[in-house]
Amino acid sequence: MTDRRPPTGSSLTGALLSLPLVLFLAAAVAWPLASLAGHALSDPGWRAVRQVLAAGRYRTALVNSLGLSAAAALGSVLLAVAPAWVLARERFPGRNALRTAISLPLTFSGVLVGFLMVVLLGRIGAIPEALAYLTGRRMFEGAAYTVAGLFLAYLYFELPRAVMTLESAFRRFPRELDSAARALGAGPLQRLLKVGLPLAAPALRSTLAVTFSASMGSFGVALILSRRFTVAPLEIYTEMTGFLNDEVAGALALMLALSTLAVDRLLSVGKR
Amino acid sequence: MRAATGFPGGLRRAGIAATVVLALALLTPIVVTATGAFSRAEWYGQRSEGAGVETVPDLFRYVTGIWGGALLRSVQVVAVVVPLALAIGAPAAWAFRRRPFPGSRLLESAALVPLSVPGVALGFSLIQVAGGAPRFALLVAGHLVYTLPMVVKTVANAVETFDPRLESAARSLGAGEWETAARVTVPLLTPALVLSALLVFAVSWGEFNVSFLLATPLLQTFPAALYLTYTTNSFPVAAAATLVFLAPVVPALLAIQALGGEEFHRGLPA
Amino acid sequence: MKVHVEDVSFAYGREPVVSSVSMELPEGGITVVIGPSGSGKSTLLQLLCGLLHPLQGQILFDGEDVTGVPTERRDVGVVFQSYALFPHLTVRENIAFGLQTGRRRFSLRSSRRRPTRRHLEERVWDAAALLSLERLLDRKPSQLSGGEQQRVALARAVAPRPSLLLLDEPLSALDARLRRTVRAELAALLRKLGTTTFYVTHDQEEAMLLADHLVVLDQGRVVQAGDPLDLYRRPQTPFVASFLGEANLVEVEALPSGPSPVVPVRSHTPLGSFVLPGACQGGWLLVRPEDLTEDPCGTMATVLDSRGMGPHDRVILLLDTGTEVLAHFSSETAPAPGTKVRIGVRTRRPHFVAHRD
Repeated sequence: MTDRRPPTGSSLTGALLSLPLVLFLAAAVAWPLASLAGHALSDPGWRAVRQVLAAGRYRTALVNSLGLSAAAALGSVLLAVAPAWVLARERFPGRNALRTAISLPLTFSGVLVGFLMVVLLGRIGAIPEALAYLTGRRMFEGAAYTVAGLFLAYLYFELPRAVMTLESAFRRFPRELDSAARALGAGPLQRLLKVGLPLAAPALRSTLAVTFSASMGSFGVALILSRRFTVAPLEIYTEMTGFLNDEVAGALALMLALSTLAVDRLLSVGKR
Repeated sequence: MRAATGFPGGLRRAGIAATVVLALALLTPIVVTATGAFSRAEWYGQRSEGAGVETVPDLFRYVTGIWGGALLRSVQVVAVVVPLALAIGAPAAWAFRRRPFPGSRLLESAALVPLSVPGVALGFSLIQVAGGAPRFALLVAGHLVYTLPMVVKTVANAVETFDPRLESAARSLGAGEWETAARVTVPLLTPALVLSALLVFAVSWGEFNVSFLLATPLLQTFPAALYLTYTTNSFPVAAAATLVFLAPVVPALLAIQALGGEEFHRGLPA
Repeated sequence: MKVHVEDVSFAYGREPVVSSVSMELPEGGITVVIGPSGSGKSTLLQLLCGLLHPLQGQILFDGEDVTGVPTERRDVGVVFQSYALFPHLTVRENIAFGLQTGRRRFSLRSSRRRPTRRHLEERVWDAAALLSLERLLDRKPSQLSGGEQQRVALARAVAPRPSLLLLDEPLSALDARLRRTVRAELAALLRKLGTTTFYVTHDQEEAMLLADHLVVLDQGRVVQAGDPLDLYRRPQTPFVASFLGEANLVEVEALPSGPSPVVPVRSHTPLGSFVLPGACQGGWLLVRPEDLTEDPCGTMATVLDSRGMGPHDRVILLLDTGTEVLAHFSSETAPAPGTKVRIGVRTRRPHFVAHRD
């Protein structure tokens, strides 16, 4: 009965419990990122930023990252819709095994994915070897190291994310809405266009955001596979360790982070 | 609940077929790799490891021999990151739902922001501002950045699903704040905490981007060692190392799925 | 539309949910199906609208077999328990949904072409006006109260003027007070529409108020069907007797045969002696609480508990023979607990529920 603390007391408890998180985020996220921005902006005439934006390998790397990530995000979401729907809404034997198989690559780091691509499509990869055995002609040797190979590798690690994220959204769809549409005379196509897709739009957008930002940050895959086609995380690494060019690395890192965040924000506009 | 989805039979079968094809496509390289680790290494001809590494036990002995230090590092990192992530993330997540304070919503979304900041960019900036700090601490910080969001989301979701009146009931029965936490809140959140620990483990075990950037010859985690193996060793050794890497995460993934962990859908930073 | 359900069975896996159910929905009337949860009443509704298909038996709409016809081609309107309003559409768009789907109606008689734009607006407006939703047309479902959502669900179902209206516990999501007012409005509306209606509920008062034809379902089987008042007065099983309202079921021993098996015999019961049909294996006497009254020549009983309910007093009595009975007495005359009263049965021939084996 004596415990009649004012509401400020309880919000003080909340603030105290969150304090470690606040301090950590400030020290390990906000401070480094702010310093990154500070460095780039305090630089006289924004030299490093301009250097990155000027035509050349830095700008190419940034553009490549954006393009490859957008393509991988779109491709994986498109390919994921049907499997996600099947896993969420259909019942059939082996469904859980399928889900586990599809989610397995979620535990792979980028280098591992790059390695798997080499295993499949490297100079003596499994696919070229098998094709040579079957047809007698050598094909797709070293395809892993081309842009197409890089794209496939990105698809490989994005597809599980896309399927799982979409599946959990699809599972939350009220089943009765579909029944209601049917009772009102809507056929399968109409139900997809008038009910399914409008309801799925937010999930599709957030899945795009998830896959896009994962691709933008992907470093290990390119580290293994990239030959001539370079991406921003790789350039940051080379500038920093190879050339000790911290200004350019910083500017590139800042722009990579900002463009990823910007797309992420853009895709979550109007979400709730 | 169990009503038919109304998809015509043909469309349904096509969907299931597409799902099976996708699963097979994703599994193929793993199967090929596993075959590599369990086949006779001499089939692969001249190799950098020399002639001594032939049988399957040889392969795994070789891998643990050269990368034992990195394995140990990874275990150490995980052992520090898992409890720290829970200790920092779980109380905050509870507070966001049960004791919201001015700015708590903003803080909650701020905790999720790092998920969309590329690891290389963050690792680089960490070195820039705190290059003098012990590398191990930086490594732990880098891992925490990517695991805390999962803890916060998982625990916050779990807090949302249990009735706040349970805590009120405990208070009305005379339990103080700490006693309520210990006897009601924590037990109710145990599944979520276990799930969080597994998520943190899986991500921390496999994290490469920040770890590789922060790696020094003496401070190398196993994923960083994996990279070196991929670039220097022969296929059977690389395949064996891959399986050593996967051995603890695959059970973790199965456990995560059994507990219904949705926050793993973002997976590891690639 | 006249609907026949003939010997329909359905099971989830090996668990039977509906077992050889046959019924007939009178044309233009309201058929209410009532039963406890798990009795298969919602499954029956899903079978009628084609979201599920029977494993056995037939469903006929106006004599035509529609058993395998999918929902979207049946001429039905459904109100779901959760309403299932489309959250991304406004009230107007929700109501218009069924008018724009170009349903290929199964039954030729009611087949219609897609309405023109003006016609469409008129139809939406008509349905909205029917349920006083005119002011809410541009809202999203999330901006509506529970009662309003319920009206939108009904408007959406009736807008295409279906030949069969199916309602799955449409009031169960409303709070008790609202439920009572909406119930009366709904009854009036459904009678005005004159559409053949199939209404599922577990609420006895709702059933009595709405039903033209009442079907009691238990464990997937029809226990009894007929005129609602008839079911109330002459239930054939103890289950029906106690599911529809409160009932005292007084056990009657197997009767000694009279001079002839068909001649009624007089039997003594704790509540007095009554003339019962002969040749029966015993059973129960149904005495509704309102049928009990204070009677100077009646049986002695002690008042155990008495509670004023407003319209009447709810009195629990212990007969001297050891049987407990429930009575509704008018408030002025209700005796206090502890007092001794004499009670009797108002009707001279109370309903007899025979044992069944």
